[in-house]
Amino acid sequence: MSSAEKTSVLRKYKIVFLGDQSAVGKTSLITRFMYDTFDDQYAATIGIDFLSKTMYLEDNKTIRLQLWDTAGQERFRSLIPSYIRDSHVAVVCYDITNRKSFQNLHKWIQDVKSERGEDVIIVIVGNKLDLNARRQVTSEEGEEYAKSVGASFSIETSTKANHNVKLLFKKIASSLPEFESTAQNNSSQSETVEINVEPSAPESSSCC
Amino acid sequence: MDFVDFDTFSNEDIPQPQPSLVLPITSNIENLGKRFSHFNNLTRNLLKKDGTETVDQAQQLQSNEKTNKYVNESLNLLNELEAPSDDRTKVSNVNTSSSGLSTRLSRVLNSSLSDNVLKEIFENLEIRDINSDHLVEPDFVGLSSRKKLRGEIEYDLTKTQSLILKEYDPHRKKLYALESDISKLNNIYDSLTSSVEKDFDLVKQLVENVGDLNRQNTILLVKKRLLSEFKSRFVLNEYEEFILQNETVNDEFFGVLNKAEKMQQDCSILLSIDNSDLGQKIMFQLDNLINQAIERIISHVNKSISGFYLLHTKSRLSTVHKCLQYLKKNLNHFIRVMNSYTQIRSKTIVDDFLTQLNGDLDRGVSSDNRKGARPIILSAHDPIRFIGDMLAYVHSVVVNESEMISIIFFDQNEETENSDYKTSVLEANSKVLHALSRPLKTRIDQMVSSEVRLSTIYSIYNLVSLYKIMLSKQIQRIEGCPSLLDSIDQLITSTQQKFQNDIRNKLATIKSSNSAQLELNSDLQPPEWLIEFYAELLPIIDSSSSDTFMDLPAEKSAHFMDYIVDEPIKIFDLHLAKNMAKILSKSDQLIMKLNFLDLILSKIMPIRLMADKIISINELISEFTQQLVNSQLIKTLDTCKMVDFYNIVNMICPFSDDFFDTSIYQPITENKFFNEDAIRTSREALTENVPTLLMDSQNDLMKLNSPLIANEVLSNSFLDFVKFYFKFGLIVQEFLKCALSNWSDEEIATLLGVEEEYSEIKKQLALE
Repeated sequence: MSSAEKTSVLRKYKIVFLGDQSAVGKTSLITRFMYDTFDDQYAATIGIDFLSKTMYLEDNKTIRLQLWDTAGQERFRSLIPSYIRDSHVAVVCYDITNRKSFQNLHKWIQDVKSERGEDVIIVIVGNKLDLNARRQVTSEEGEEYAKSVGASFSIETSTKANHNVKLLFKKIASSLPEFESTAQNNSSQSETVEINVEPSAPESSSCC
Repeated sequence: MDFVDFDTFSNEDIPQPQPSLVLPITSNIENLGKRFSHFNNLTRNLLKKDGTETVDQAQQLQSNEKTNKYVNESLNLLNELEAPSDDRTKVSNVNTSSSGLSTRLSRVLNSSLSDNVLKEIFENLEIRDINSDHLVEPDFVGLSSRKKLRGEIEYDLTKTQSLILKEYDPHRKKLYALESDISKLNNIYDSLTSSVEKDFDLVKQLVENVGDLNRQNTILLVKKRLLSEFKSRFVLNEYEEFILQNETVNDEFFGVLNKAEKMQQDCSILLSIDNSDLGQKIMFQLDNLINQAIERIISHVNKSISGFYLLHTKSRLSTVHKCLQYLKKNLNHFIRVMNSYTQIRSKTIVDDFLTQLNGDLDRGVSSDNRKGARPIILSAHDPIRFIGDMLAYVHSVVVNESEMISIIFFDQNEETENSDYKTSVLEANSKVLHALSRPLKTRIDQMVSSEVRLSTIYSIYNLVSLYKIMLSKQIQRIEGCPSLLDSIDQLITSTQQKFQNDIRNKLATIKSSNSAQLELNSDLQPPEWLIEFYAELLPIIDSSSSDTFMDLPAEKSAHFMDYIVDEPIKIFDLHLAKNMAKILSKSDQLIMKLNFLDLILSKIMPIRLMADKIISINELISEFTQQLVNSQLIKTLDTCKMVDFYNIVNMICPFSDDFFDTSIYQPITENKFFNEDAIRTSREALTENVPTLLMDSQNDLMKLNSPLIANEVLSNSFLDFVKFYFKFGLIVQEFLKCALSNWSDEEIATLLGVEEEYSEIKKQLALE
């Protein structure tokens, strides 16, 4: 395989979204990323949902993210470890207006670590940033917790206001082992790098 | 100019005018130039021949013949000139004829001499002193005069001609001098002529050859053009054949292949010609090439499919799309590819699955997601987790395969594919995923069949059912095509059956179990097996959130609910009848049954799915309660020595709250037991036992677990007793004229603790 072909090889990464059942926004985070939409109506996820999306990064790199949306309800909890088992990234979500969801993060982190040990990228996401006035968890607490559990990074997002959602996935992509060197080179400019994302529904292969 | 030979004139034998002599010298000299000019023409023609090869052969021949003729004549004339003057005289004499004068005159007169010339001639004649008179005389004088004139004229003429000839003498000498040159020239000419003739033959042959060659050339050119055109339209060059046979499948390959196909189509025109062998041959060759190319395309696609990582590059993927686009044109080829795809992917995913299960991850798996993942193992004997891991793995495989088939077979840049194509692709995907059915089903069936805990089987059922919902989002069912979902359905059915069979087996075991039978004893309590059985089963049923248990059809679900309630009751009845019937009294048996049913009722009461059974159990309890009430009543009557009376009254007419009249019971007087002594005995028994009857009855019902039932039994039995006591007392009073006892009915009710209920009944009866 030529070097040019190597760079255009499409790699797949499995990302599992975890978090409490109390509508922390796992599904809406994925929906915002996939379709750039937001639905106020809460519909509990049944079992595990799957969506995938191709991301076209800079320097002609392409990755395919397989997003596994887990149900937060306790009765589906037993399913989740089976999905963490072979995942590359665990995105653990909490609601910044719900302290309990933040306190329960450790259970999810424990599940991730028991399944994958250190061989996984953990990302802590505090959602519902648009409800800042009702905040119960400070961003510093989130960051500290992320550091304490060895998460790659933490970020606060708002799926409703579409804030930091793309940045979250861009940072996830940058954290992947194959892209770490690139990410380090571009770490200073990472905030300004534009990623073009295509929804998987049409499965478009067009780039930038 | 006519020339008169002098010697001829001297011959006087013939006195006729002499014919004019021809002096060819002048003519020869003049003609010589002409001959040379013809020679020049000939030379020119010969030279021209070198330049222009296409000359009319007939014309050429004619021209050459003419030239030869002139040349020969010229040579003859020259020879004549060389001849001696005697010969010439002879010739002149020979040429003299008798008709010379007339001919001459006619020639002179009819000649083309102009008038001026004639005038000059006659003027010259006038100069002479001609005595015309003598001349015209017919006699000798005249003849002599004429001869004299003639002589004079001939003399003048000869003289003049001599003078003229003298003028030619230098020319003659020159001509003699030229003779050798001319002879040389003639020799050269002859040699040239012979050479030319020789060359001419050669040239003629050459021209013919050239013509033939030209024709051949033209034919060959036409052939060449035809062949090159033919080649360009019907024959692939070696490079193109090489591309089709050996080169990598790429855009150029498809370009050549399209060309070959077009050629093959065009070949049909060759079949319409008289000799269709060529067309058939070319078509055969092209067929071979195209078939080879198609085989290579199929091979390329298969290779790409087998090493899916290769398809992660856009260029390879694009080529595969082109291959598939091409193969779509021929259903057979496409089916071959699809079959191959199905075969390869089926094998791959099954191998990966087994590798995961066997924990042999060193062998590696095709999916990059699996790297670093733990194998699926039956950790800590947790079958739920094991099956969950398997199903989660299958879920991942399903989405990966769906994505893969979509990437491979649907070109995102192309317009939407037709529905048949989509269906066939989905069918292939379904077949690929179906390959997992057998190993997955085998493993889960294995787990389910070896599992003895109902809760675990039910959890497996729930897990499989949930995955059926999740997988249904990813897998489309294709009619007539085996699907993984079918296997999931079978798994669901098998877990349902396993669950029900296990329950049947458990109950069958209990039914035949001696220990279960021994659990029935005089404490009248329900057997432990029922408690254990329901403790395991009922929480499972309670946890069901669907309308029917395990999503069974309503009828089957109801049947199952009946079974799990009725079968234990049957077993209990059997055990009771078999082991305790002889030991326990009827009331104790009823108490035991009521205790048993009460336990069942208490267990199934909170369960939504068993609402129908609660009613039937309540009916049973009521039935047994009533039996116990009757039993208790009989026991009370027996204690009070009133059983015989109770039986006699009931034989005559059972007491009823609705109507009572002592006269109805008049036949009682005919019964030998109805007498004062018997009544006295009863009275004594009443007096003795009624005060303790309540306590005794309560003691009897102490083993009845349900206080409600116990209370109901006591109340109802005592109420019945009091009512009987009251009515029987009236009968005794009517027919024996004595009192049954010293206590009124109300006092008896008070002693038995049912005064309130009794007074209520009495009030109601009074109102009525």
